Amino acid sequence: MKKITYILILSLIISSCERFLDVKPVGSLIPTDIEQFDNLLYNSKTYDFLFSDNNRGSLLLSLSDEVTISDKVVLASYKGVSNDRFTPYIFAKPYLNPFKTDDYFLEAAYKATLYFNTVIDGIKDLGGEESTKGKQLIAQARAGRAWTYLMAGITYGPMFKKGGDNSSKTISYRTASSATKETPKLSTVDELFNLAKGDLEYAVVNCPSEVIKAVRVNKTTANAIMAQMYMFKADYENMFTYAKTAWDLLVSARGEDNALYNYNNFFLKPGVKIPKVGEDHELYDALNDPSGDILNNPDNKEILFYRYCPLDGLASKASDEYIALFNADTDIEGDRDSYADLRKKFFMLKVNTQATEGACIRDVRFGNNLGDYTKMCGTQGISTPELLLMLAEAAARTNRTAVALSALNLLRSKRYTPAAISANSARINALTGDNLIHEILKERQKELPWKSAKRFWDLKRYNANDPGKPWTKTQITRTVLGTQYTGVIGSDDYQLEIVNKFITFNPHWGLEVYNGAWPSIVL
Amino acid sequence: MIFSCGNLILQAQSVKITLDIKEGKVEQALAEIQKQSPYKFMYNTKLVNVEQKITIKCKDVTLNYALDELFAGKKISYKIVDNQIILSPKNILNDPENDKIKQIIVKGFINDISVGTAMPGVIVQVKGGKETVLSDEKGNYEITVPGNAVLTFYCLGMKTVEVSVNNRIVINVNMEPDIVSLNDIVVTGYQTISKERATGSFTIIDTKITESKLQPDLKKILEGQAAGLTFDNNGNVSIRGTATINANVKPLIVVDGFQFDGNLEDINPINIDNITILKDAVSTSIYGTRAANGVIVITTKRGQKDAFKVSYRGVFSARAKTNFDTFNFGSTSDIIDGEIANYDQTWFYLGPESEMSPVQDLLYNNDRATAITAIDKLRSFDAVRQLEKYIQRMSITQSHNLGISGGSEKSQFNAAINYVGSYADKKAMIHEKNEKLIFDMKNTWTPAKWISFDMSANVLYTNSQSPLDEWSDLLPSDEKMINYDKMIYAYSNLFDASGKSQNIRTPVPSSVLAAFNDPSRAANMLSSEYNPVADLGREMSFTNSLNVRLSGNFTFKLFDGFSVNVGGAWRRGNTNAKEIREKESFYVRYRVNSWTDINNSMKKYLPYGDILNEARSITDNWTIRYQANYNKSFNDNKHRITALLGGEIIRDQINGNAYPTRFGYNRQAGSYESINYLDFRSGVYNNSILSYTYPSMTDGKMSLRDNRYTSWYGNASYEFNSRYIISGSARLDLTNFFGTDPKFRYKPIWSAGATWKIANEGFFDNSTVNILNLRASYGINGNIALGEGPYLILSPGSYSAIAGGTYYSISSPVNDQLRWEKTATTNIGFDLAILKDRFGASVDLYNKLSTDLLASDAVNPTTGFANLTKNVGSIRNRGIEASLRSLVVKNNNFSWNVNLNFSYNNNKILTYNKSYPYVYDFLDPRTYKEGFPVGAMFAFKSAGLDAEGYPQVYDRNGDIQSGNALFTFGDADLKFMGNSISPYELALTNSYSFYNFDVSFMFVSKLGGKMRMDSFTGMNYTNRHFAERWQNPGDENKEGMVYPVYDAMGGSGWQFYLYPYYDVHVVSTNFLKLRDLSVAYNVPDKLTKKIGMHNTKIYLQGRNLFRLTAKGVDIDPETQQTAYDPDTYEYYIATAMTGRPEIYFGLSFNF
Repeated sequence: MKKITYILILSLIISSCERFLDVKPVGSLIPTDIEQFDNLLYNSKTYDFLFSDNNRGSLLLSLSDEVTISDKVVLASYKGVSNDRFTPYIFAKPYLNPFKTDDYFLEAAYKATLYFNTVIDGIKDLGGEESTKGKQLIAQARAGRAWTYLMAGITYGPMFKKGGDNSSKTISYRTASSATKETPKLSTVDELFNLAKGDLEYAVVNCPSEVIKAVRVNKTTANAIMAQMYMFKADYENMFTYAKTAWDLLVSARGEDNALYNYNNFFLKPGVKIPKVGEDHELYDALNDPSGDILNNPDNKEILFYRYCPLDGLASKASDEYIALFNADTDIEGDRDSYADLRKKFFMLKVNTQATEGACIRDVRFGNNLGDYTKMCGTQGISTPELLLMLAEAAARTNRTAVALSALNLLRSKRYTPAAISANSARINALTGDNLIHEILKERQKELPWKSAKRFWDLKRYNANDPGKPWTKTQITRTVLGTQYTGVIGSDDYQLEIVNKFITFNPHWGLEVYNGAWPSIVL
Repeated sequence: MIFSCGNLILQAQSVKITLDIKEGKVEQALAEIQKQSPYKFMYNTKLVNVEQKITIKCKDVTLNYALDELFAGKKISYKIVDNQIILSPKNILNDPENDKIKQIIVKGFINDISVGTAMPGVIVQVKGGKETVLSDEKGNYEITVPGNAVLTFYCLGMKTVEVSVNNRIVINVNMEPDIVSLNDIVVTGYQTISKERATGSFTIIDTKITESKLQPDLKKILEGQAAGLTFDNNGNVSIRGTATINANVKPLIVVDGFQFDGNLEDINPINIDNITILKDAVSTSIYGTRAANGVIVITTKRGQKDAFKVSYRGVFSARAKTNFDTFNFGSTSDIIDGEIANYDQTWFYLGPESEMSPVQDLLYNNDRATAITAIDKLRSFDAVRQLEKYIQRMSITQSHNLGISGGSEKSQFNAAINYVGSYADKKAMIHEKNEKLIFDMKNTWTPAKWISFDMSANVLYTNSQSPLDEWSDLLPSDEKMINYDKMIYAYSNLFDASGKSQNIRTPVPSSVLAAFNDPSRAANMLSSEYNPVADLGREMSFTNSLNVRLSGNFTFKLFDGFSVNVGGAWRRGNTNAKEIREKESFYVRYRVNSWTDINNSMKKYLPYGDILNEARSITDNWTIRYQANYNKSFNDNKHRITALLGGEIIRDQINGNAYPTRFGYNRQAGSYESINYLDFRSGVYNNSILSYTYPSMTDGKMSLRDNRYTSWYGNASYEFNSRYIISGSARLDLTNFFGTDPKFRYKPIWSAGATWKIANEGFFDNSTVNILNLRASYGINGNIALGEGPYLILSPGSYSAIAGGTYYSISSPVNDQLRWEKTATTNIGFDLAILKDRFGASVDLYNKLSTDLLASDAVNPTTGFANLTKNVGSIRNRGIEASLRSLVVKNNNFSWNVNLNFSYNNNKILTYNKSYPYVYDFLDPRTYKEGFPVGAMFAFKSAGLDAEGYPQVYDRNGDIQSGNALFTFGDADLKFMGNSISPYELALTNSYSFYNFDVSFMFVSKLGGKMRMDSFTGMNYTNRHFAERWQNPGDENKEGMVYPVYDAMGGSGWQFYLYPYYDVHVVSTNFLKLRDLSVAYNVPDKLTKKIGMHNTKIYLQGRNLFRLTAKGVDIDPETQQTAYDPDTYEYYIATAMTGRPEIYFGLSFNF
């Protein structure tokens, strides 16, 4: 009897094991409802470090015409040095070290899309794609994915050429979240834009009207991204439609006054910080806006769609051409109160970049919110002034001159002194056609963050779709230590290469591993 | 003494003996007879003189005939019992006086308490009398003895038990393994078997040696006691090398049969009966998936029957202060020169004047000559020596251990209480205090002969407090120049002439300074006085924990040789950790000042009061085990079978909660003021406050765990004719967090082993060899990594001000293909004992192949992952372990024992495909690289300094490159320097007994390892080699010049950041240390018995008294570490506190 009792106890213990084990591990969050995917869209991988390197700078800045490096700096910092921020400055392909096991640019893009794809697939797996919340989240994820792939596509491949051949290969538009699913073949430029359009069409319909902060996409933003996509496609009619919708949504939600800062209201707090030797005093002074907004914050009112803006590029200074953009005939150099353009007054400052260089002019307005040198938060996504200027540009390009002028004047009213506005209003209001477009594009260049990839993308789109226009460039030439280096904008000089690691893992892309020397030119 | 036991009668007549000994010893003849027959002699060397001379010649005679011939006229009588021949002195056995006392019949039952089974074959003898019987197969015995006799119970491997009869007619006896005296018992936690019958690779640590060590910490005591048991610089234990990449690397600790989740330090080292280290697969496979790293099985002491005993041991110890030379600083004057050079090169980068260091300040505000004159006055101060003198304490530790044991026939108990209190032990700093109290209690009841019950309770309480600051926070370095918290410079004068700490200069950031400069606002600001030494005691951490462990085990003896155990263990622990920064500390004042409203200095956004960070954690785990045992011998002991089959259920839970930081905390009242955490995180105050310097602050964090396992296991061994043993073991583990795919869920773990006892073979004709066993085993173990699983696992982060919400991350994608790691171990070994155990050796060769290791595998980066965990890694460990022991001299007044443990481990990562983005990832010895050992050390190949004093490097093609080129370097450009983990280890212990003195000393040595030396590497001007740097053209050609030019800007790019990792800084870690030296005096009982004390012993012990290192190495290889700072993404060479001499004084006695 005794023995039987023991045997019974033992069998009981053994038989209850399966149930005992059938418990999900605690301490780990295994998503069970779609709300949990909402938090994934707050992850910094979706908005931070995109199109920047791990030191928060960007080599794409080196491909723009807004920077220049003096020979002194080259000798001190880049002579005999392999640096992927310098290789593009002298157009020494490949720009990225092909042997490195990480490529900040493409890798960051795929890390971001992993989050978007996980949200889309995760909600579908839980059967939530038809619920309102599910649709909103999927729409935000698809908008995020579309923007990321579009920008990566025009960085690694050629720009869309309206009416031209768009069959060149760019990047792979991966939509699977599972690590075991295969990555698709490289898309052509045409396919890339079509896939992005599909995502954005869903987003425009399903995105929520409101979001907490600008890293997430609302209806306004979705329309703005759509407008941006059409801008790169040179489809100005559609660009106008979506830019106008976006702007109208923005204004109806906030009112025009809350869409843009009026720089005339800005002021410097006196004497808070002491500048370093040789620097302009204002650099260390806090810039305030009486509304109390925190300018150096991704939540400031001009950030519509926040994507990290690089802090720096080469140890560079603003090119003369860029500085000249901000000059007016009436400016008395050294007397900041006389400057017509308030952007010049507050932000074009002398800053120590390098011991060898000494103080030189840099645009200290945009960067991210980490740097000492930045006054306002910038974005590589879309800002409200950019949206306004997209509207102006699309209107000007589709001969809606009045709309274009109205938008342009609205921005000018926030950026110039009243005296400068009244002195120039006649000239501005008389602008038409290419002259009007050119004026809008100059404002656009001044509004876009200096240290970002924005100018690089614009150089490419003007080159592809505005041949022969006054704002279009075909090549950029640099002189370094007496040697001239020329980059042709329409060529692969203006495309990043896919590094070996990606090629090895994706043989079906048909790309060849680079085996040559890197960098190909060492000064 | 030699004992043997068995339970069946042999036919003595069938044995034929041939002897031919001329002028030999009785002993020789005994050895001959043993060889020619299956009989073993059993005798007490003190009573039976086997050294007597004999001459004997006989051929093919019966055993009885041979024995009669042999002992004729030798005063030795014999008795054949089973296969044993018991020898005793003739005169005692035949003493007719004994017959006068009344004879009674005593019956009883003998139980093996360790496994709970009956003990057949135990020799029951009247002490000094003539009667001898054996217990039968059911463990029962019956003997006729005088009513006042004392019975002794003998069996090999068990402690001899003596019981006074006192006219009782039933005497049941519990016997337990004799660990201390014989070291012949292997305790696996699931069973206790004699070492003779084990096939695996075990090391049994002699508790005599561990008891002679006075450290209160079991970990330190175990060092050098077992070949293959290794301790690294951080005190981490490993057995036979690293066999995993991501999974647990700690050996499994088992206490009294059940898994123990605490640390070795949590075990009372004086209350230990047996420590068995299980190393190969056959010994560990019974533990399944948790045993790939080996198992340390600890058995605590049990009560003794009929012996109520109280024992005490007290130890006082002191450790010398650290010599700050080991931190490798230059002199104050050199450091000041460095700061001047730094100023000259970077003045245009300096922050505002109010944030400058005193030297910078002087240079900035004065002409050069005036400044230098003032600076020169600072050269006489020496903050480093001041800290050495005043902030350090000699570490004083006292430990007291009180043990009580005793019991009756049916119940025995043992209790021990151990207290360890120390000051300045871990950080060697003032304000530090550590206390530990361990209480152990163990009871055994045997209410009836078919049932017994063991119960033990263990309570561990620890309490400690220490300053939050580490030495590295206080010591000046070039990095600290702009650190507002610890503004100590080499020339800071921290103490006045009387040794009292004083305020030092406080740089205040300009934004806060503005408020101080405005008299109306200044009144509302808190003092900015700064006394870093006084602050040490104002920023403290307090930790206490209470752990209770209860375990019990029922043993039912159902029928002959078969028993069942049902038992379990439960451990619950509670830890409370607090960090308090008092309101008086500069830390708090500084932050409250910073968080003052820019326009209204009355308005403080941070409440003024103590800042408290508190975390509480509860651990709760239990094990239930049921097991059936079978133990049986057949056919005259020709066949012996041992088998067990059982199952376990384990649950392991953690519930941790770190509370949000409390501000304005009042310790006395327990009150605090609330703040809006979200606003803090969102930065909404940033524009309104003077300066945003965040306090150390957490929003709180919870950590939960509920790991569950169920397991089934079994093992069996069969021994044939005392010559051949085969054994096998299998286990199946299931768990709730891993491997839902049934294909991977049911993976058994198994092992098989065999032993051949060559010395017992008839053909083996060598009387000097007592034991020669050849062992071989093969088996598979497992290991697990937590944190991955078949689900998409997200991990919640904190509130992100940028994103406007709490972000989650993908911590692990769906990964249902994961399975247990496997380690296959082949072990071949032999045990040798010669000259009656005067010399013994055990040698093991192993090959441990770990496959299916969970490792990061580089995956297609388009997936968004760079690496994914897969079962792809493999590591091989091969090695040799040898333990040699010798009783060199043994006579009445002097004995000399030598013990040598040697191990060699060759480790190689066979498969590992992880992509590392940066070349400097390979510079961390914790980086795993295929084809190299775990701990591989790589370095850049130095090409000397260039004409301007900058380091140059050879690339993979042998071309000289500038240090800036390192940016493009890959692992192919690195040179493999060797292993940072020493492959060879050696521990040599010599012990002497001389009259009442015991002296022992142990040398330990580690050989074959590599480490990086500290160096001036271009920017770190606080280093002692700064003055030897390149200064003038041509210096680069000086012999042995490795110290580059000083360049505050770090050259350009990578030059200096990576210079510490050049091959010129790599040296050997070889060392030999006199780890300890002990002298013990055994006070003769006659001196102490009047006060009731016995076994009184006085100890004196020294540790780390002497060190030898490789040529040119002037730092302690045991404390040198290469560290990685996750905050700055920089690797740096850190030197920890050097092992300092320690001295111990101890006293022990029994009542």
